[in-house]
Amino acid sequence: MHTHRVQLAVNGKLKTVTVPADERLLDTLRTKMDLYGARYGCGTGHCGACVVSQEGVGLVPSCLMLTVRLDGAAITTYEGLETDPLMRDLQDAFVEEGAAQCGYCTPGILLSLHHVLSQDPVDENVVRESLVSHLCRCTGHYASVRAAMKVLQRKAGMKVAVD
Amino acid sequence: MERVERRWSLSAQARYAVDWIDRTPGLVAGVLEAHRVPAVPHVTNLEELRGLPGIHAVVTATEVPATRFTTAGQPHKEPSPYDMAIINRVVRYMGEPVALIAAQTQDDLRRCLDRAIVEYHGLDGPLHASCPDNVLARWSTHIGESMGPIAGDGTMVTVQRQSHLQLEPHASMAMIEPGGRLVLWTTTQVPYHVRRIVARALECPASQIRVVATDVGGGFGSKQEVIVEPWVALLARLTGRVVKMQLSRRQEFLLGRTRHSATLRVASLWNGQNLSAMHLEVDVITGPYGGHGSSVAHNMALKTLPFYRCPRYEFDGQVRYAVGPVAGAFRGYGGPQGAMAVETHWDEVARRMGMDPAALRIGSLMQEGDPLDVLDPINDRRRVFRGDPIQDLIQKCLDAAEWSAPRGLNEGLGLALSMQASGVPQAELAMVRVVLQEDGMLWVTTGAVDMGQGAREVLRSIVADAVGISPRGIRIVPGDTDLEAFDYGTYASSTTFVTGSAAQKAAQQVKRQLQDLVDILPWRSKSQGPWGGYTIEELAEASFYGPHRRPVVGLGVAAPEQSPAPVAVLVAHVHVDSDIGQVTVQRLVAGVDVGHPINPIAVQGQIEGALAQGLGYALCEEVHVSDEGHVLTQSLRDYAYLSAMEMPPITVILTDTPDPDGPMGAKSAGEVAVAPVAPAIANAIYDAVGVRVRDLPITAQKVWQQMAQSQKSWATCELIKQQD
Amino acid sequence: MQWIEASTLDELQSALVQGYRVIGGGTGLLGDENPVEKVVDIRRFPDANQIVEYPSRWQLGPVVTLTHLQAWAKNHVPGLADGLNRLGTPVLRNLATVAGRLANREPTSDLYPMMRLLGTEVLVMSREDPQPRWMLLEYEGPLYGANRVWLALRIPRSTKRRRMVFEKITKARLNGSIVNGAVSWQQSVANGQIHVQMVISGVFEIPCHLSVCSKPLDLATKIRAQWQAFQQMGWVPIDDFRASAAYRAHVAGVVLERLLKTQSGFFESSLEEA
Repeated sequence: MHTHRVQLAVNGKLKTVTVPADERLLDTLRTKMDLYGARYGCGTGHCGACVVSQEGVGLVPSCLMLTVRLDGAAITTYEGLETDPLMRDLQDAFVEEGAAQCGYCTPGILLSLHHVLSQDPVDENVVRESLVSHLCRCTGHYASVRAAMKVLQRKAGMKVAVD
Repeated sequence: MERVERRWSLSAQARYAVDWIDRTPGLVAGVLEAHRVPAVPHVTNLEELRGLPGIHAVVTATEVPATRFTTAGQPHKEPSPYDMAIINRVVRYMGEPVALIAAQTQDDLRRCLDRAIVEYHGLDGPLHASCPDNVLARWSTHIGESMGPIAGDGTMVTVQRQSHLQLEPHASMAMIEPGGRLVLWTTTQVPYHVRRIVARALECPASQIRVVATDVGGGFGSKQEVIVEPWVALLARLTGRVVKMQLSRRQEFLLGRTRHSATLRVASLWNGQNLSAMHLEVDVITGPYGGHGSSVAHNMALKTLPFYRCPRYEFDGQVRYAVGPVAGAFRGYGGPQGAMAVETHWDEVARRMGMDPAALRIGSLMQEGDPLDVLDPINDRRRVFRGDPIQDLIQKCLDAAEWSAPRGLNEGLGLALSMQASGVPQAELAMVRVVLQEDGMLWVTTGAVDMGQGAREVLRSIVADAVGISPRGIRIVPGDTDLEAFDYGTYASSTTFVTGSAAQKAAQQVKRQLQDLVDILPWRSKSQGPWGGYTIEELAEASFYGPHRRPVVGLGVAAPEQSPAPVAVLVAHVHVDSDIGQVTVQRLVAGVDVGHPINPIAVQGQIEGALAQGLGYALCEEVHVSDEGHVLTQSLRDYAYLSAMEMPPITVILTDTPDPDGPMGAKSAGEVAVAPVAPAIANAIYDAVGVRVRDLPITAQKVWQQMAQSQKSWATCELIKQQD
Repeated sequence: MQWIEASTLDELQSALVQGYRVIGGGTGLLGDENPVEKVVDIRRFPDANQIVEYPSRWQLGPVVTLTHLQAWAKNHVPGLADGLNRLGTPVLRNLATVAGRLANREPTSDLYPMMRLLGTEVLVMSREDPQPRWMLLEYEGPLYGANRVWLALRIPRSTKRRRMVFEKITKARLNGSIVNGAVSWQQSVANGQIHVQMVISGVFEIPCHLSVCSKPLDLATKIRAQWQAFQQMGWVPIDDFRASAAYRAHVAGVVLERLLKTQSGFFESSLEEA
């Protein structure tokens, strides 16, 4: 089996891995880097459970990405954002609203919401559009939308307070 | 409410079976899948495959134990036929194992699968020799005095196969531990049933197996099935190595389970506006193996007929084997199929009588104290309905949905009801162990599983309430069969009611023991704790190291006779695009009686999730199968499901009427709200455009076809106008 | 699997001869359990992921993603940007390439009608002929095949004056595509005539192209006549588990009417101006 040496930054740390050409980033993260936040759900990029963020590209399904093509790339997984203030706000809102039931799809959804709430302007429709990337079989997305809107309102409230 | 458990559900730590698989070195198991059914397959180059590099085992039907079993995770002796072996000599569904393979790596496995040559000897005739006409079960139950024949064809509906679409695929890992016991890590709703069923399949004592249930990334019934576990167990035993397996999404569609498809017919006999008799007839397709077939079929009646007071009930049915994927347990368990038939029928009858569908229902509704087991005349008073008056719940929903307001163009409202049990009536058992650790933590050991429905949180609340301590001081230890907390498992909406009752009993014992301990302790505490001056930590220490050395151990057992029925009332508000038949659900109003909602946020989540699954079932989800038995919808590209953009606004009205039998007054909440969605939408479509689709899912095409047939199609009228 | 990179025409030609398949975003190529033997990566070609502006055209590199196209279209062809919102999911659009979505054509293609109406051309190189050639994007024809590679796409700048609207009918929003339609129109300054083009995919194995140039008042009649002619040509509508032939034909008719209707506002306003 022909293997390739690939260097990539994952959550800000430089990693070098040796991978066969057909290895998906999802498997590299899970089997070589002990990062389990990205999860297999469908293998065709539709369910969003494996989403990671690639610098310069945006959110991508890691189940459809060959690691060998990522030499020099910078990847951020859910784990890389766990201490980010906006992510903490989102997590709090998720807990308050019960937006994570089985939790399997949650890291992917939180990455999408984190991405969309970092932009401006945001409304409920934009939030829902971003959730189209994710299948959540437990909640029907109701609680995740509520949670995202809650964070948005808190942000807006803080803005007003500062102004 | 404590949030520790919900915080855990956001965690990226390794906790699912797939995580354990990815972090543990071991052999990779794979399935050599059948491509022609029904047939007797023969691997012609078996020895070559076994000699391939990296191949540790290739097992075919002739080399597996002969014992037959069912994959249905039900209590012994299962009401499902023992109609399969680990590998069957006859393959009956596409993708069924012709052989099981253990390989060093995925590549070795793929090479082996590519090299395999399989010859098939096609079979005619029945799928199972024991069922010459492919009919697995047939019954005719008529209760009450006949008032004469029930005239008319009644209402005929057909319902489709639905995929669970739980996001985490089936995944298991097996190893032989020193001493020869088999350890299975698996994502399951039923650890103890897995232990027993794998023991039967492998012909070994249950004690020789330990099942460790991991966190479950979505179940909905799919993981009440014991699919992958016997395969990895067999291969682990043969190779002596760690063997692991995770299904792909494609395999989930092929090798997983579906909701049972069926044809149902309902007819009724009326004396004016009084119901004299109801007849339900079901023809249920269970796939080529019979797991859950009969019990799901019976639940189509048990979750619908008791709603309506009636002197005579007739329930006829059959369960048939057929090619296609295997059917199994799925959230709602017969309820969605039954409700589609019965609730559509009530709407049709009301329209025929010129009555308001709500008013007609209210005239016949089940009342407090009415029997729930209406098809069992001997024991029909064993379980009776207790709860919020259903007519009140209906009225609240009608008001919230503005039932009496004029409808917009092509808009309509539809009503449907559903009920559920709280655990399988008279067939539940749960043991819960509550032990005070030496540091003051209470450990609650259970064989139930948290699959996202919030079992941990609910058990924690129940124990905290019963003992009188903070939920913070409680740790839930679920799903390990070596920890001796036998439980039938997490299905049939049982965990809160059954396991919760056991937890409550265990916690009550713990509380008594703690009080006893306070009474006999010789020294006085200065800490002014809540326990007669002591803190829980002091009592914990004293229980192990005090003069009496009396550990605090509660063991609660629940084997309830009761299984109270939660009720859901649903009003759907739809708009129909009359050009193409596309249905847009504008709003759902759900009134739900779950007794006392212990954790309102979790209950809300259960209702919303159930409604979302019901919406998919109603509008678009279907596992399509070709005549030869090929699954045509093998990926999320092809299997139609609803996205976040299509979820309508939902109003949930939760009542709070404590049930006398439930722990803290709770009834079950997980499944009840799936069933009413499809009939409520069908009824709303009739209200909107005057056509009735009796065939799920209600795709735009079907609505359009009906509209075209009824000559009411706006598009047709327009076309004629244009031609004029 | 073997993976190589090509950044020159010679390298690419040699890979094609050896039977390599081109990988773009990978969304089509790397499906679930879908092993591919040999892939050649062309993202290191000059401007492979760029949209470059030339005096007469915009040129898209072979690995420009749908998201990138969408961002560009917001300022240039708003109808295309709106339409792209209905393709796949935001995450998939970040990975899927424009070329891939078009080159892996399906009868229910959703991107094809829009790109076709924009007059898109494709720079194609084949195993047999190493000389890249520009060809008009067509559903049939010499563009496709495992031994072909798309090196670039280009959209003529004259497109800027055209308007476009897209409609997509699906079983569920994300999947079960049934019928896709796009319409574009442009009014001649010289004689006030309107040029309308429509492409409808999903009805037949090959998308239907309708094209009319006439006075505004006759447009709808002429388009309908063309559509009728299509249906009478004996082509058999697709009949599968997503939708029946009869339903597809009906929905296509509705889509067509709706697309015509979306233009009527434009026609009226332009009539007033006239």
